Amino acid sequence: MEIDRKIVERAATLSRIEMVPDNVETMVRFFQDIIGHFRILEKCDTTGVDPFSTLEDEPCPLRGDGPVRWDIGDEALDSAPLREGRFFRVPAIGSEEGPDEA
Amino acid sequence: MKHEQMDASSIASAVTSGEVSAVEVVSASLRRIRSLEPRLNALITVIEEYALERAAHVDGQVSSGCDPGPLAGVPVVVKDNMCTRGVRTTCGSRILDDWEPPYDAAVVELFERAGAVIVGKSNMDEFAMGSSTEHSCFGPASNPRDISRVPGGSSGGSAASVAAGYVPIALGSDTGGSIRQPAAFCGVHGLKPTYGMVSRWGLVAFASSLDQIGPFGRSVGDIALAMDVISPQDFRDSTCSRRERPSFRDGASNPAVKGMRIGIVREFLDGPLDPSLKRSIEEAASVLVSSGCTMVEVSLNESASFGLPCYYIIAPAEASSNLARFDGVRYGFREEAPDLVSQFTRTRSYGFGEEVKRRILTGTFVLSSGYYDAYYLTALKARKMICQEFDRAFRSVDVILMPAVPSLPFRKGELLDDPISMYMSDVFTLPVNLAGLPGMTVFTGLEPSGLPTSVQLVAPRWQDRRLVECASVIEERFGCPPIAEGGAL
Amino acid sequence: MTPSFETVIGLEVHVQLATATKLFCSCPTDYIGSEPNTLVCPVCLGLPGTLPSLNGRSVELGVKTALALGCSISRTSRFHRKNYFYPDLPKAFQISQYDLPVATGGSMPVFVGGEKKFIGITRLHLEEDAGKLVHGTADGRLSGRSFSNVDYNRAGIPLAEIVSEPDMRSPEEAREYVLTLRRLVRYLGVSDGDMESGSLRVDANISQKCSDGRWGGRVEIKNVNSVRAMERALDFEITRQRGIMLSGGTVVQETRHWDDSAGVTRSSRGKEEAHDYRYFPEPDLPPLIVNDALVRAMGESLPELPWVKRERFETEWGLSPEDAAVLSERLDLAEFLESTVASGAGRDIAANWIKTEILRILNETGLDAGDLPFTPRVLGELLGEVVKGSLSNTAARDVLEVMYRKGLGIQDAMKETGVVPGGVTGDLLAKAVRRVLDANREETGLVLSGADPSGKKRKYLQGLVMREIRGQAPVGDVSAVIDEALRQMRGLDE
Ligand SMILES: [Mg+2]
Ligand SMILES: [Zn+2]
Repeated sequence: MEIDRKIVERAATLSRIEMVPDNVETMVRFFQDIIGHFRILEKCDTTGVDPFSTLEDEPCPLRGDGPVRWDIGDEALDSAPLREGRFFRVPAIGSEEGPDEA
Repeated sequence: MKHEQMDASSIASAVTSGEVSAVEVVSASLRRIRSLEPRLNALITVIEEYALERAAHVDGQVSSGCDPGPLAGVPVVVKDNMCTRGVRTTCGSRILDDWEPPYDAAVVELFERAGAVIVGKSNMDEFAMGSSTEHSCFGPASNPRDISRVPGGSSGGSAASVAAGYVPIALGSDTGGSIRQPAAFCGVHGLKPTYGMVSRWGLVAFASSLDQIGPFGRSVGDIALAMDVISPQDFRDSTCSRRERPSFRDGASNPAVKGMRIGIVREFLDGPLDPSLKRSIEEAASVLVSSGCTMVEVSLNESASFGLPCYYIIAPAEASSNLARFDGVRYGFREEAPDLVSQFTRTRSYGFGEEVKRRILTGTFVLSSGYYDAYYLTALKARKMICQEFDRAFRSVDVILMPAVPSLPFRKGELLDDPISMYMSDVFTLPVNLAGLPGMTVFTGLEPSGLPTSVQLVAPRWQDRRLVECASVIEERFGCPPIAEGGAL
Repeated sequence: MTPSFETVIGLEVHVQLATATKLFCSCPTDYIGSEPNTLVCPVCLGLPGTLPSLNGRSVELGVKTALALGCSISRTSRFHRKNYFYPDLPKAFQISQYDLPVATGGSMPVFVGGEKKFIGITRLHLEEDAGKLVHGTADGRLSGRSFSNVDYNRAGIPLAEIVSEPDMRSPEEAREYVLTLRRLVRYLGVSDGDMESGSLRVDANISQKCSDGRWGGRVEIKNVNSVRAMERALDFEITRQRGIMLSGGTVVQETRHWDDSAGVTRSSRGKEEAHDYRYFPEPDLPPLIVNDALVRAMGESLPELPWVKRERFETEWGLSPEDAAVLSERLDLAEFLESTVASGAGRDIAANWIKTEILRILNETGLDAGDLPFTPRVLGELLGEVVKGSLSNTAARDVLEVMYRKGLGIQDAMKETGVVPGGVTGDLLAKAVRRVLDANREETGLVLSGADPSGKKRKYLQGLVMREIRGQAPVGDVSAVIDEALRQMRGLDE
């Protein structure tokens, strides 16, 4: 697979990270190196291996449904970069930018 | 004996008996920090006032006849990715921007409940991504055995704090070797427990399926003491096991190694390895044999071949998701912009350092559509095979003896522009994380250059006690690591 | 020849589960009416270092719903992370289920135009809700936005997402599906199912199949906040999509948002990049194991399902389809009816009274039938009096009114109402007539003086007497006693 700017830029967009143009070249080279390294895995015969069974033999614990109030609302709002009353504030969200999911 | 030379259990018993006050011990620790910190930069935050208050509280408990706990008055350092209520927790990153968590990490609670006094938050590679503690927005830390060299990483500040005698015990986190590698570089003991042994509640996540907290110490006894304190189960971490915990201290003081089968991994000794470290393996092996162990050769071919690529896919993948929450909305640093997408993007671009961005991008890439199967899914399968390979090896041995690192500590800046070579320094440690096993770096002495050597012990899951047992035997022969005086350049 | 079209609709319904705490933390869930950002903790704010811990009750409610939908329960299921950036999503990923949901493969019967049709259920999975955004402008202008405010009270509320097969063929079927599902979750007590407040949210997928063999792209409609809005949006899309296909165009697969005031759907695609959620297994949660005991307990906790009840009311009890539908709409009402009948009341009279009187009281007061101050047995007794003929319908209605308003038993309520069991006769009736005539001297005078040729005034007086005695005497008797009284009054005058 050809690792080019487009692959790096797409990963950057999805990650909400932008790079100054010089850095893109460095990152492309890094991607080429590291992905070259990943190719070693092509030699790993993984046929029939279930990737998802985990180390853990203990199932997910289930918590009881008793409510607990933390009362950290104010503390949390105070440590926000921009607090407006009882809200966290962010700049406008263009209507096209919304995720499709609720 | 000066306070900084005492181990944690002697401090605790002296404080509990009233022989010495916690305030005196903590003050001595703070003095040591003040004198060496300009050279070492091992700590991001020194908690002076609060530490003295806590120490006074411990002294109050002693004078009122309460037992302050097994770490009474013991000064400790915790890595700066563990939340401390009201004390900034930076993860070595600009993006957290003096963030003060509104809650304590589980290990912080447990330490304080045991009477320990946190005197500092240690320097680290940003978000624990790195092997040198050079990727910190607070500047690099130095190796107290030779300050021209790196202390290792990412828990380099914690390892250096223990080696330099700031504190007898420090906590680090280990995702691919971040306790064991700096322990090896700084010449102290360091233990990464079985995944699920110690609660991760309040540990800022790097790669959730690999991260585990563990202690550094200058004696196996202190490692065991710290483990007994931090290993209780915790319902807040769903991956924290509910099984019963061993007594580490009992293991350290009554090592039952006789009859243990010790595995030697041919693949790891034949590859690139500093001769002094190879010699350490041989010497440790002969110590164990003379204590009644037998040596068995085992093969870890898949771990040796596939561990590194597997790790450098899975860890960045999880990290890309774990670090997505740093968007400048609820906490931390934010770069203002007129619209939301540019604000998110600018905040993250300026807030994260280069190594973190490299890993986030790599992680996003391996999870993105079109590449998921080829990279992420394949890595999960390879991980599974590595687990199975260790399982097979542990059918014929009880503990594996192998190097912790391939080389002695490298010089600052030496690998900074070569990220992939830097990644290679985790080659012996990261398979242990992939398989969720317990692993421990044990000090084996100082070279004439003053640089430390070490070995790594690895046990089956939940057999962490075997590590301190074998380590005790090795320590008996090589002695405890001496305190480093922060040697001049 | 003009081609014909078939509409294909599938629905994704998000149901807020009625737990006391959030899905992954112990914060309370009663966010409606709460001050913004008060029901939050480090976990649901996504603070660094926090970890999810799964609410067992939400698993139970999810399993209960899935069993009612005839799904098979996965003994092992898994949580995934769905990654995307949005300010209402505190961790920048949603913990949801992906390739191994807790339940798959069920179906639900829906009645449309008297016909029963089974709609397939693809899956039910658990996931966490996001926070809420409030948009505004700095200068208070209505158009344009310059900022958004974020409230995380809702972040982390447990949702069951129920995905249907594309089995619906019309907006009416879609409406009935949603109403049936809402009735079900209310029956089960797993959710209040309120669409207006967002406890039940619907995304609709709709496409067209043309008789010439062409398929239109599938369009996902979002932002429908009521059943009515969903029907309108679907109608709009049918017209739009068929129009495109008739003019030879292609319907593109996309997400569109319903604008309720304009009555149109709008494409939500713009410069937006294709979404890539980078799902991967949530490493902070081991696999969810649902054991047999839990499945059994949830199975045993299921009430008779609403569609089963409705059919039984029709076929076994012989109620009309309309009555069966009304009486099976609410579980509390249906159970009240069944207990009333079980206590000995006739099915028809009980059904009649409950669908009118009891339902009216419940609607007026917002009470649950179980919270009424009288039991079904007491209603049964009251109806017994009606059947015996000792209480008229009107009198019984008045007694019932007092029973619930003042919380009285039948006897006390009758005393309070002045109702006499067995009817008003003899002296009592004569006295009542006398009271009415005395109180209405003008009309009585007109009748007496013969100035009531059409008998209107007399009829009016008779009505007043009937009301005075709450219908507790046959009309003939009342009329006769009035005549007698008038005669006496005339005699006195002469
Ligand atoms: Mg969903
Ligand atoms: Zn919460």
